[in-house]
Amino acid sequence: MSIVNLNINRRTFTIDVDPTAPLLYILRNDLSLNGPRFGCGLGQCGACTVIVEGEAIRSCITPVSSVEGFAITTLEALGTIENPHPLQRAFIAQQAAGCGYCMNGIMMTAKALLDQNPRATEIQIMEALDGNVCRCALHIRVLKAIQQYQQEVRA
Amino acid sequence: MITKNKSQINAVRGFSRRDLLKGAGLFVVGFSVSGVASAAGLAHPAAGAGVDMAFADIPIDQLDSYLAIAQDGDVTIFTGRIDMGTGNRTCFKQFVADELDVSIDRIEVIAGDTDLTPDGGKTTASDAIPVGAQPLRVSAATARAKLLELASGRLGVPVDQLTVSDGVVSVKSDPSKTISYWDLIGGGRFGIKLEVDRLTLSGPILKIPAGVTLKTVDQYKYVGKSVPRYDVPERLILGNFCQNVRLPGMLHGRLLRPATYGATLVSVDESSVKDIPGFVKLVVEGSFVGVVCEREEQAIQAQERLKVIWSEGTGLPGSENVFRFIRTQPADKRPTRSDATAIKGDVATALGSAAKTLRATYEYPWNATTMFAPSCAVADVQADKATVWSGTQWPRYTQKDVAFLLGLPTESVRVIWVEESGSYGRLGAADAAADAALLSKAVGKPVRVQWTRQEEHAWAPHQPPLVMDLRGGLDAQGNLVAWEYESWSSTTHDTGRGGGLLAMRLVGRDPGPRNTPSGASASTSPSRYIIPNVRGAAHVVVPLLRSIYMRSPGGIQRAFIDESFMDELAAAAGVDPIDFRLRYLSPGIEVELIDVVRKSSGWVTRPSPNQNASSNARFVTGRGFGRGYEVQMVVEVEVDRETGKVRIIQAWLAYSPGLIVNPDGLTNQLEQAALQGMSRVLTEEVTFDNSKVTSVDWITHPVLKFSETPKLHVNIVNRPDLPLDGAGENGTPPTAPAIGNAIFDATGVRLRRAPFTPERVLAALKAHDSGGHDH
Repeated sequence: MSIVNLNINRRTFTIDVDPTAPLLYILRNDLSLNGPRFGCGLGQCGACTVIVEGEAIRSCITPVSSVEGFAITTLEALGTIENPHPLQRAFIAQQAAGCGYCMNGIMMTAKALLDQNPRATEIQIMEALDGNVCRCALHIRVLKAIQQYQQEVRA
Repeated sequence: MITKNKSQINAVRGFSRRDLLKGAGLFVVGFSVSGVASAAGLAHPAAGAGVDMAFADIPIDQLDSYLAIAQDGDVTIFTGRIDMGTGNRTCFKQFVADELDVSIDRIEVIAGDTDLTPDGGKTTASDAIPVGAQPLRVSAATARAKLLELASGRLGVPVDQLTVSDGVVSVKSDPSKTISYWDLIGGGRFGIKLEVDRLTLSGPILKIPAGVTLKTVDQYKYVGKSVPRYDVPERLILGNFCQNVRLPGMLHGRLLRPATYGATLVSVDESSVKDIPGFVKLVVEGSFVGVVCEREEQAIQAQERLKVIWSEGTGLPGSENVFRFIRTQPADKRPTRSDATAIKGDVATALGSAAKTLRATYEYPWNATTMFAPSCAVADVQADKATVWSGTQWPRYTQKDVAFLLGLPTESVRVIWVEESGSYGRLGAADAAADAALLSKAVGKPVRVQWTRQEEHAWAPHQPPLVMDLRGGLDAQGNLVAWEYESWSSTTHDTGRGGGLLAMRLVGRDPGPRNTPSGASASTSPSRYIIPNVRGAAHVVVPLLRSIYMRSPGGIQRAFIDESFMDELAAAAGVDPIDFRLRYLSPGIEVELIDVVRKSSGWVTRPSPNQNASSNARFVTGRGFGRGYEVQMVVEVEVDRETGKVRIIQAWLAYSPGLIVNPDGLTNQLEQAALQGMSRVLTEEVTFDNSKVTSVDWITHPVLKFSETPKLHVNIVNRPDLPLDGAGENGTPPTAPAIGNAIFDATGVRLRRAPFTPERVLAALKAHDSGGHDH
């Protein structure tokens, strides 16, 4: 165990953990940040996605000590039930959820992409999401929601 | 911690709901309409043989079991059905809001809690609307009638002089005279007994009491509208999943599965994990092996490090040999609907005198639900009781299964359903609930169990394969005169009807399925076509792997075979594939929907394959029709002749569920079912070698990628005159034949083995080019 300082959603957290433990379990079990989720533990499905310094990364295969000192953003930083982030509003408007378990990864991946490139084309969006799995197959609604968000951001 | 909603807390605060419903000294509204509550005892006269209905804690024949109105005007509905992400709870609210005449915003839903909700059977078979909603509709309509009767007494005018708006009853001629539902009954009981018309595995169907009528379509305010799913914002923003349940003192458990199929435990070396910080206990019972640690990452470490020696195992035939193997398997005597035969007319004579006969064998492999979130559950087992949090599709069976394993009376186990990953059938067998219960019992503390991705892919029960030999005969005019088939398949209810959980198998205490009245997937053919001469035999054999139903169990397999072979016959007759089918279908909604999808897709009437099929171009396109029993579909594909890659460009589908309760929700379900079906047909198969399953993650078992998303045109037809039908599964079956038929249209090559992977398509193209047989 050792002391690790994490900068998450603009707050600093100090925790005493195994520095090799994957970030995902620290976020969920120590900090009750339930946005990132366990889906595969292999970096294959995207359920655990968080944004580190603007890049969407897989927290299930990221040792907690490796992100010390970096700005980490989780789903919790986006919006609340009362005041959803515009991206979440677009997903709600399009009813882009089956079970919704994968949607953390999809929304965080989309956010990282669109923050860098708001005018990403549909093909660029689809390719960015190819590393995410949506088993309920909401593909059509997800793509519509992201396009709706892009239009709102432009307007 | 999970956040409980307000009414959930109200419902459990101060008294148990069981006590409440047994009338433990609580306020009961006086009652005069039909069917006064009889003594507590519950008879189930309609319970058929083999239907296990020993769930009487929350009576299924009491209005109060389904509906409660609080003093503050909150309306709570209680359902045994769970919501795996389909939105059925929103539809329940729509029905109840309309039948009760209240704003939908007043309504909360409590689902799948064995201490709070009546038995709603299983949440499968897409029957949440036709069956699951029915007791709620009857309860709400009965409650409204009772409340109007009470209001009539209080306001001193006859019921027909009253009107209701959002729970406030007023006198039509004097709107200042009002009284609300919550003033009339808030916090109290109706005490009304409802009669069970019939029991199904999906819960009861209630009789509509005398003097009560359900609303007609023109009276609906919410039903028929695209009311957004209330759970979508919660799922997108909070994600209150079972995975988040954290109890004080909770430990983390992981399981170790046999190294090969059928292997048993030889020895386990605890010293290999004892030095891991936070290690609590190694749990071994029979071949069930688990580790429990204080923290999740510690449990993962222990799971990876524990040294276990397994026996050699029983072996597997290899997934490429599965269709040869299934023909040699012994008959399965457990399901009551097992082997089936069909005889109509004289097939031998008809085939003998046919101008043209076709012969084909079709093969559909093992399919895996590959639930996106691997199985998870939390159990808190104490000396005389247990509580389990699970995404189970069948809370009352999970309750019985856990009680059986723990040696507790059923009523001492409480199962609380919590939102989980979409499960498409898989959580009909909530394996993790049993795992967590065994581990929690062993350590005397709450334990959360999380399966790994590889465990979920390999060790979940899977949908069994289907193989069918077919012969068809055409007369000189190209008419279909004979259809002969022989099929081999296995029950989809090896699990998922209680029993059969992996933990039960591993500890060596499996009570077996609690009932299997129609559990087989005996595959007869061809569905609903009227053909003069038919002969067939369907063999139901012992499943190779642990089996379960997966989204439209048997449906996608049978549709693939029936509808691909029909396409072969149409092509042999030189007739347009849709025209050919219409010759053998009776008029009705099915034919109407075929017409809808035909027009919607701009279908050009001509035989398949198309003229470009013999071109040498790298990319060729084609269109195919697939009848999915309920959903009719046309698909347009592009085939890359160099790589064998099939791309679905777009698809059109048409469906009618009878009355459309929620148009956008229905469209969304059809989109999901269709896309998941396309994923299955193009890429998905459970693969195994001679000892173990080898499709164990998203690389070895890929699913449809976002860059492969087709355009989809969904046509839904509102037909309130027809019986209600479901939405969750029906979009899946037609995908398989529609895609296969489109590939044939594009290339002239017939694919008879799913999935249509690039390797398989390429091999079929090459065999075709060299003049060999199609695949």
